[in-house]
Amino acid sequence: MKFRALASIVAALALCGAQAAAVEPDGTLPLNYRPAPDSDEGGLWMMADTLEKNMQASPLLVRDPALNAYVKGVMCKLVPDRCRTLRIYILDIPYFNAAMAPNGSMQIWTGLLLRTRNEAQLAFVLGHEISHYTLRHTIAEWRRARSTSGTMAFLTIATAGLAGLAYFAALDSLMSFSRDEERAADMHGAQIAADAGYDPTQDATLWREISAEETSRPKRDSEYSFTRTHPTTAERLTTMEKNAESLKTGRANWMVGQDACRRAMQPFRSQWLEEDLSLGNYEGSVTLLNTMIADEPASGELRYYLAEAYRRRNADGDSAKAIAAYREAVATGNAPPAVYRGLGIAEMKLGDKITARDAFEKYLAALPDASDRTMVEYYLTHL
Amino acid sequence: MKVLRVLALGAALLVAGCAAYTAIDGAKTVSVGDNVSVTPQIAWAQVNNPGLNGTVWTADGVMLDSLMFFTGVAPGQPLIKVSGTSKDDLPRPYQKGMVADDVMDLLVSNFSKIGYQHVRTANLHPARFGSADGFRFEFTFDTQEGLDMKGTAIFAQRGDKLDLILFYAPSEYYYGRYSDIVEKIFASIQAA
Repeated sequence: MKFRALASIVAALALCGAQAAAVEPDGTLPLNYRPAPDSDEGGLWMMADTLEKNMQASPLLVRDPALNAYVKGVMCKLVPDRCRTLRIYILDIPYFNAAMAPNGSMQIWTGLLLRTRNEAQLAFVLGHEISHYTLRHTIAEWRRARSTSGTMAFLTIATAGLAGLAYFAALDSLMSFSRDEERAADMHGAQIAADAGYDPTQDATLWREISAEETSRPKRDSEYSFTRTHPTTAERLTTMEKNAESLKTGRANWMVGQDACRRAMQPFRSQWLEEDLSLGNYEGSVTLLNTMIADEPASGELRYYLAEAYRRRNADGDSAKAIAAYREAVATGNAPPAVYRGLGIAEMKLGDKITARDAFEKYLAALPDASDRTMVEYYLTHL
Repeated sequence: MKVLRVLALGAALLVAGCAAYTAIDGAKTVSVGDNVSVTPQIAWAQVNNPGLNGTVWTADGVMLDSLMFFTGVAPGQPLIKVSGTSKDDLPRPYQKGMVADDVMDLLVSNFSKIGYQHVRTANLHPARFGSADGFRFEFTFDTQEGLDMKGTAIFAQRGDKLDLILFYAPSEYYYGRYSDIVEKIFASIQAA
């Protein structure tokens, strides 16, 4: 049945030519727009509907009501008239990514939420993705791709019924836009975020930080990278900054929203940092954590994870860097108890038995029922 | 499209579509390398998978269960080999001076490297590896297709080298189906 359905879609797409849609005066998609089912755009929307059903059923979907309400709330500040029609799905995937489907369903990965350090940065990302929808970039890409082998790949993947990273990453790869469309989404997205009162300078700030993290890592062709489809070129950043200067005129008070964003993300941050470290991209993690620490120097949690990045990277000199970071985490007075466990391991590897013993004993005193107690006791007896 | 190429690596470990198979007799103690031997308990099929720096056995097929032996892993060697990539793109290698926590983290980064998601470890503790001092831990991860997997591992560091044996299967049904057998295999380890 799936093959027959696919064949029908392909046949329908081949028969139907491009169909012009009515647009709002500003060139954007009308509210409550839905293309005719027998149009090529209707076929594309049908596939996007399938993707949306897969997202709704995916084990990666983050269902936390408070987090979803916060992210959706930011979107609704940007486009209040589209608040009821656009849908956001947060997926627990530790890479920086967001993508808009042509039917108005957006996916945001937790790796992006980890890296947006204030509400304004999140608003500019959402504005960019909403613009791809309202400017109907996906159908433009689809019509370009229709004459290539990419069509079949898109159909196959979009209707595959999978629910993991392979599915979402493959779709993301196929749904990349042209440089001109990215530039248009940057400009239009920045406009709607600025119109909602968000500080326009945060757009380029976010992209500079993402670019810095990306370039701090050794080049790894094999891993997912959002910047491959969204290259942060010097020209793009310069354009963003010039645009921000222009948007900033005529208004004094701009919203950054650091506290609100931090409150919304805090319950998940430890989990997301663990997931980021589990990727083994320790160079990128060190850059990310140093950026976050610059914002929150008193965070024992962030300093603990910076120390963990050094300890797990395990390169020459990393034990000493880890020890320094663990100690800075302890000094904040709010680090998790695991800071002593990590400190003990790092000191043990450098041969400082007395300090290692002290750290392990502090860990067990802080967590007497620790699930790894026998392991720490083993370390203590083998110092 | 590079994303697709790499995401296929994890699938390749599971599928091993054109791999050659060798029958393993359940009753006979067999060497799995580096002077480590085990008694298989049941009949297994050994999969010759060039993507691994080790050996894989499976009972129902590698999509459903995998018993992996990484024995005699020397410093500088990763657990998983990725061909056709730059030096920076290789999975993290085993390193001299790693402690038990580091070995557990090594498995996490190697599995994440091939696209497994949410690789999590738990319950690291000392355990006998044959007559040698060793360690055990449990782990979970999601495949790229979103399947929940569960696993258990045992390892020892003998001399400069690492011997690591691990088993994983879908957490629903298949892991439990073989967990007692895997425990008996781990208990049968002889490390000379």
